[in-house]
Amino acid sequence: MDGERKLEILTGAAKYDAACTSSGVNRSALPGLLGNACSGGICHSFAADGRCIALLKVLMSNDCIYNCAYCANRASAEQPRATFEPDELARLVIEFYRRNYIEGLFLSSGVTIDADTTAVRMVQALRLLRDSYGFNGYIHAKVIPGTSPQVIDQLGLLADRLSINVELPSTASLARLAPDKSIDSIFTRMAHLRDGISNNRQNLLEWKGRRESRRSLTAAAGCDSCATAGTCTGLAACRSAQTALARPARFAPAGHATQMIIGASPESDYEILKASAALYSQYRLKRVFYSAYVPVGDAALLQQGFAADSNDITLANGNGAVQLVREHRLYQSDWLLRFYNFSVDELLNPDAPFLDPLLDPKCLWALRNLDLFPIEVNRASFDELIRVPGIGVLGARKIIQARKAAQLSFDTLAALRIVMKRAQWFITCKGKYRSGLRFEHDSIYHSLTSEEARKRSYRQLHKREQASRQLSLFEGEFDHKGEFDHKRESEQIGLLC
Amino acid sequence: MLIYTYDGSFEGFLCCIFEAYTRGEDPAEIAAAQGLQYRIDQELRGVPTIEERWQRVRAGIHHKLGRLTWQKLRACFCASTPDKEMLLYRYLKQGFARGRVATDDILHPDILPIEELYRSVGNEQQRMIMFARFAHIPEGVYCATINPKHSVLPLIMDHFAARFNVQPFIVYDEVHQLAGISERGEWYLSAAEGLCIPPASFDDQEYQQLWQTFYHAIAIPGRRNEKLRQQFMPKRLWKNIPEMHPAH
Repeated sequence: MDGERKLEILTGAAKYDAACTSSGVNRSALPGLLGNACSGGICHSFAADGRCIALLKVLMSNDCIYNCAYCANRASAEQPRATFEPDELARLVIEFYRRNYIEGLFLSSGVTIDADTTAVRMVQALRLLRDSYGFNGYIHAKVIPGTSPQVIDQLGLLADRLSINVELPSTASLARLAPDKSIDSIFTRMAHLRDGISNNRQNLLEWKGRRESRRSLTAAAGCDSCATAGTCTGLAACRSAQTALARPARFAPAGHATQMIIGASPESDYEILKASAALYSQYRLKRVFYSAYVPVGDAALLQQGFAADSNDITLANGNGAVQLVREHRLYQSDWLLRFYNFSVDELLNPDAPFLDPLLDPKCLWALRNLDLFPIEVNRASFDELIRVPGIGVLGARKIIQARKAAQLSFDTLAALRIVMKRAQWFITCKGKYRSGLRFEHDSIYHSLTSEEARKRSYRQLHKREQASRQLSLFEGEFDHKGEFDHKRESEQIGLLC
Repeated sequence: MLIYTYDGSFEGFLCCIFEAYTRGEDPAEIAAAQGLQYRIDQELRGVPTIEERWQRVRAGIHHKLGRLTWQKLRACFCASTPDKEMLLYRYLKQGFARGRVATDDILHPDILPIEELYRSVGNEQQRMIMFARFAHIPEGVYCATINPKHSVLPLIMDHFAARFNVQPFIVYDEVHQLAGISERGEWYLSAAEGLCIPPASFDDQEYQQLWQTFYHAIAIPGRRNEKLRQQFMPKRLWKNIPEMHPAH
């Protein structure tokens, strides 16, 4: 099989993995090494589906022995199989990186033979990259469930970020749809990562302390040879301090993450977000990624996906478009949990366990808590401001900066790029509510949703027109608007995808 | 009507600030001498670029408004907006008169335009960092051609020079006819009128082909979203982005 065909197969096999971030770690460039890493992450291209491409996202192999029902690469699926040679993959990364196509590598794999054999092959490729090719860019490696801790430790010293997929939001669904994966092993390995990362951080702190004390020691003892040359032939005390000075290697400096598939199993949004919150707090994850389920191949049972809420007509058909809106609402909620100090129980509860497809979760929360509004933008604290729909972290900072000089009005807020369409309902300026608006639940809900509904019906109309004119190449257009807002929000916070 | 002319460099512009400040003048326009259209009612004054003077202005900005504002002004000077000098001049006038209170007053009519311009230049800088595409030419140098709307080359060379310190490379801004040349982590700019970049090596064409293959294979079929793609990757930049060209 030629290299191009192999790349095509192993990329296609990785495309449903949600994570493509290159964020979380700053690593300066070093003379003689290729690359560096920026903690905000850098995208390099955008695919036809609008998703960002930051990393060369491929599988080491799609020749998998497992038979997970939701997965395109399951053993029973009929499709071409391929496997990269470690050197073949390493060279591809280097050549792409040199041309500024990519920010680094995202490497996952189907399970060939067994977990450790698979992971060791990944380690080989990464070691070639780091040691033989002097690659100093970003690497995200997926930990195959069941990999032994020793092999994970090797991976962690080569990669910036590691991730273990929980795959599904509950253990019951996991047992049903991924019968080959041991649930216990997923969580014990996740705990192993958490501890490895925090131990490593501790070691680095201690090392920094030792370095400081050596500096003061040499300064006090007047041993300046090591201060300049880095090696000391002078004081015995200084020499012994130096032997303890080797910088510990960094273990997964960009932390660890996970992914769950949305809509292949019956959990509610409330249960999903509860699971995420628990993952964040118990395993100290950097990110939970949500991947809208795409029915692939012959998994008849899952062909339609699960309806999120059987009462909700818009969600009930379970097609790709609907799942994408849901995925997007979950990302927005996830953002609220991590950057806006919301708790899951503020957003949803067991009696109302689903997010509203027509309304972003912050609006949904604000409408349920109208007694907290309207707030006065000229006096509100930062924490109050970021809870206002239409005001993000950046917007709140700008408001606080600008109101030092002058009282803000509705007009000047728009100049600060606050999303007035949403914010205007929840604020007062100089004590006054915006004239012409009624501070009342139904009119707010109507105004905030009718706009989306209008857009949607326009798009459907447009699509119908197109379809009548030509054969549609692509099925299932979806709500772009929401997706874009999410991206813009993440861009503002400097964490673009 | 008093017009200051200068050599077009940022240092030259700072000398105009010095000139206005020390003479207590308020020029109606500050413009690069090159390409200036003279009108009969204008009194032109050529302002010389003198290091001691721009260093003093620089120190003044650092001292009074801080390092971040300095960087902001430096970036805004890269804008291709024709009246950028006057926007910067008015901003600095406010800044020198009222200090950081002025630069915090982001809604003030003399401050807001620079905030907006900074945003625009910053976005363009980020886009060039994302989308500059290098090709390996037979001489062993990597070359990228970019077409930014602002002249952001000076703002992106640090990034590429550090990252690609193991390969000599050139970034050519075909719009502003400027080239950034880098080797072993060092870089410099050079005027480059009509620079002709040799065609990519045979190997390079192969990697372009592989990259296109990857690009097409990574998209999820059935979720095509042209609007979103163009939101992030504007069409005006496609001509220098190989994956946006039809497969060869």
